[in-house]
Amino acid sequence: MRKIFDGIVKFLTRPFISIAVNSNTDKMVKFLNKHSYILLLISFLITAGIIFLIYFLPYL
Amino acid sequence: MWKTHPIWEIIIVAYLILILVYSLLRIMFTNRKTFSFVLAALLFLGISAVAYFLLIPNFPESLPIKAIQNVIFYVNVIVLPLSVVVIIAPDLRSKYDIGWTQEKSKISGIRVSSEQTKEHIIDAVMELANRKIGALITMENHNTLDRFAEKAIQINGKVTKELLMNIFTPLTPMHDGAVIVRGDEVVCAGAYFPLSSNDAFDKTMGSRHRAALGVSENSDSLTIVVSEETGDISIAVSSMLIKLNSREKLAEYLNLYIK
Repeated sequence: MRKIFDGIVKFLTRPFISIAVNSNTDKMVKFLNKHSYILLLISFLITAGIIFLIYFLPYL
Repeated sequence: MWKTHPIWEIIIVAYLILILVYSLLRIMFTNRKTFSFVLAALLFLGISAVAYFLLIPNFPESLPIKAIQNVIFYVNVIVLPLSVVVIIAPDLRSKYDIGWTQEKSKISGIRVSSEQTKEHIIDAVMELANRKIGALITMENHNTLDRFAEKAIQINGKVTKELLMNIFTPLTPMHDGAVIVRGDEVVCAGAYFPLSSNDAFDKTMGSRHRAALGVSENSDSLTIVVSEETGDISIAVSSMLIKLNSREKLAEYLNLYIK
C-alpha cells in the first residue's frame, strides 16, 4: 500500500522535479533555484485564481 | 454547481493548470533573456485581450471588425507562442538537457574516485605543467557528462599518470580536447565542451580555459586546465576559474569537490 502511494506521489510530482534545474549564470536564477518554493507558491495562487474564475465566479 | 462540475474534474483541471503555470514560470526564470521575452509576450497577450473584448466591439460599424478580431486571434494563438519558443529555444534546450541528465545521474549513482586515482591525476598535471603541455581533465561529479563522452574517443581505462601523459602528448590524435574521468576510470579523450559565454571572462585566456568554464557552468564537474603557453594550472568549478600552482592546493580542491 505504502509503495503504491509513493508511486502515485512520484508520478504526480515528476513534472515539477524534471523542470527544477540549476543554473549558475544568473543571480536571480540562482536565488529562485535555491528558493524554488516561491515559484510553486506563485503557481498555486495563479491556479487558485483561474479555478475561481472558471468554476466558482459564475455561481456567485 | 457540484452537479454540473464534479469535484474530481476540478482537481484534475487544477493539477493541469498548476503544471502549466509552474512550467511557464520556470521557463520565464531561466535567465534574463527568457524573462524579458516571456514578460513581453504576456504583456502583448494582455493588451490584445483588452483590444479584442473591449475596444474593437465599440468600433464604428463601417470598419471590418470581424477581420481585425481574426487577425488578433491568430497572431496571439499561433504566431506569438511560436515566435517565443523559437527565440528562447537555445536556452530551453540546455535547461532541459541538464534537467534530464541530472535525473539520469541520480538513478545511476555516483562513482567514487580513490586516493590513488587523485594521486595519479595530480602527478600527471604537475608533470604536464612542468613540460608546458596543454591539458584539460574533467572529473565528473553528480551530473553525468555522457552527452560529451558519446561524441569523443572511448577509452574506459584505469586512470594512470602514464595514460594521461600519453593522451596529452602534442601531435598525437587525442591530445586536443578534454579527458573525462568518472570514478577511477578515464571514460574518453578528445571530448569537446561548449565554450563559456561569460562576458566577465579574462580575454587573454584561450579556448581551453573557456571550454573548462563552459562545462563548469553546465554541470557540477571539476575541470583541471594546464596552459600550453605558461604551464599554469587552473581549475574550473561552479562557474569559477581558480588559478593555483601548488600541488597541495590542487590536492585540497580535488578532495573538497570530488567524492
